[in-house]
Amino acid sequence: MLKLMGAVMLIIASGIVGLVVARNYSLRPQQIRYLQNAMQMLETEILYGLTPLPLALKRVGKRLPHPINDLFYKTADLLIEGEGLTAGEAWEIALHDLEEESALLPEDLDILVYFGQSLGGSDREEQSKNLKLVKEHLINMEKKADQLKEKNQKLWQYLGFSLGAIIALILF
Amino acid sequence: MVNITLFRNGNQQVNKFPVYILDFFPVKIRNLFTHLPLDILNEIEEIRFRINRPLIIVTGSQHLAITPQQKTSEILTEGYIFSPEDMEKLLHKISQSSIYAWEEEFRRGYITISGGHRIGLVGKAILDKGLVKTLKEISGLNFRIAKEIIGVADKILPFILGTDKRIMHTLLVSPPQCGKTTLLRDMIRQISSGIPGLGFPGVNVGLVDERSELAGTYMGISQFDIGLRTDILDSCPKSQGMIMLIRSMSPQVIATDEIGTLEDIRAMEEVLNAGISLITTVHGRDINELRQRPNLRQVIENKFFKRIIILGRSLGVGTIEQVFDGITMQSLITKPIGGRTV
Repeated sequence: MLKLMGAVMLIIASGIVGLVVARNYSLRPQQIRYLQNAMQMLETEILYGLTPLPLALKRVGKRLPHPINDLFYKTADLLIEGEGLTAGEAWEIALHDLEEESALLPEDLDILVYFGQSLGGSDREEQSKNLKLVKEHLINMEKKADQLKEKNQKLWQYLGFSLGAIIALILF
Repeated sequence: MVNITLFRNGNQQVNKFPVYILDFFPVKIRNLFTHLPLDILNEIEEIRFRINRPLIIVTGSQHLAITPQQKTSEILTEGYIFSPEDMEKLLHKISQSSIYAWEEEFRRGYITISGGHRIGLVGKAILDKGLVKTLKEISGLNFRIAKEIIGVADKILPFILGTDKRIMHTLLVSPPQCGKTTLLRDMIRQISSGIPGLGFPGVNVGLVDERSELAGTYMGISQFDIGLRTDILDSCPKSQGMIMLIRSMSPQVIATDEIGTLEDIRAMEEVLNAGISLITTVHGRDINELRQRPNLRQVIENKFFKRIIILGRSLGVGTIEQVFDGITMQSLITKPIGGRTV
């Protein structure tokens, strides 16, 4: 009896691990899509609204789900507190926090760091180029993330349980 | 709106150094200022930042550098050297990291910030069809601390108020940094709010503030007291603005700063024909200097203005050197009237 309960618990535990990994695979493309939306909104604020950056970031943050919105809120807060940080520096600090919270990979974050370096610091034309570039990069990343998801999500969903079952069989 | 404390100087109230300006500076630069003596801070008229050269503060009488030990020094080379990184941070702070939103201001070469203070900019001009489109690679900044002196126009107002209690067409002539804008601002305030001492009840004033300097409009709110009955057309070209005001706001007095172009003169004629009093200023040292400029010679020879007032610095900033009757060209005062002694 005890053996059976142990086996069931083992299967459930490794199953959950598998589901979490699978979920990360499906979260990443979703979060990249949110970032694309965010960049689109930021573009409207910057190029057409000429909204000052802290306010623009807050407005964008308001229309995004957690944890992506924190990136925008945090950058805005750091700029308003104003210990003389440039927008790029504030953006990088906020990205650091996002790294832990989100399903994004270092390669996604690199794109965002690069984008942040010229955020706010130049005229409209330059900002427009920068936004266009980051959107293109994000579209590419989304494709890659989608492919990975297709390949791995199903696999991990079953793999966890199967692995648990195999170990249970071997042990008991 | 930021509250500016005023201190008294004779009958006039002068604003102190606006400490909140330091919030625009990166920490390193801000720290240079925090230990300066108050009497120097209050005298600051300009703060000049030039890349790879010493940071200089300009007071009424001298140029001073601030050493890295937070002391002032007349030997400029001892001063803190302003680095390119400092400039980048300063620009980020001033623009709220939104250079893109300030293109128009960069094109004009200055930014107005809260408190009505002006920041002048130089850098590399980007041209579009021969016109300056914007500035890039900013190499120098000049913070001009706006002075608001309540009551500075007291001595001039009796000269421009006619016997029929109408304001006369007035031209203020002044070299730079002689208190022209400060004087005009206080004139507008008193004409608009009324002058009890002279029995003048106050009239509607239309103000065309092309360079956002007189009212210091920031985000739609004027940062100076410019009177109860003043309508401000901010950042509007003078020639168009004057006509717009005549049509829309029925002013009895129109005030504007620094006329000079042919369009300005044409618009002035419209104003005069509409029976509106005009108060304006022009750069110059004396009347003879104005006569050498074709547009202005015409203005003086046609006797547009009933009063021409020459400002200078002979008895301190804002000295009234001469008051002319614009029709007879006779001087109405025998000796200069002293300005503020700050």
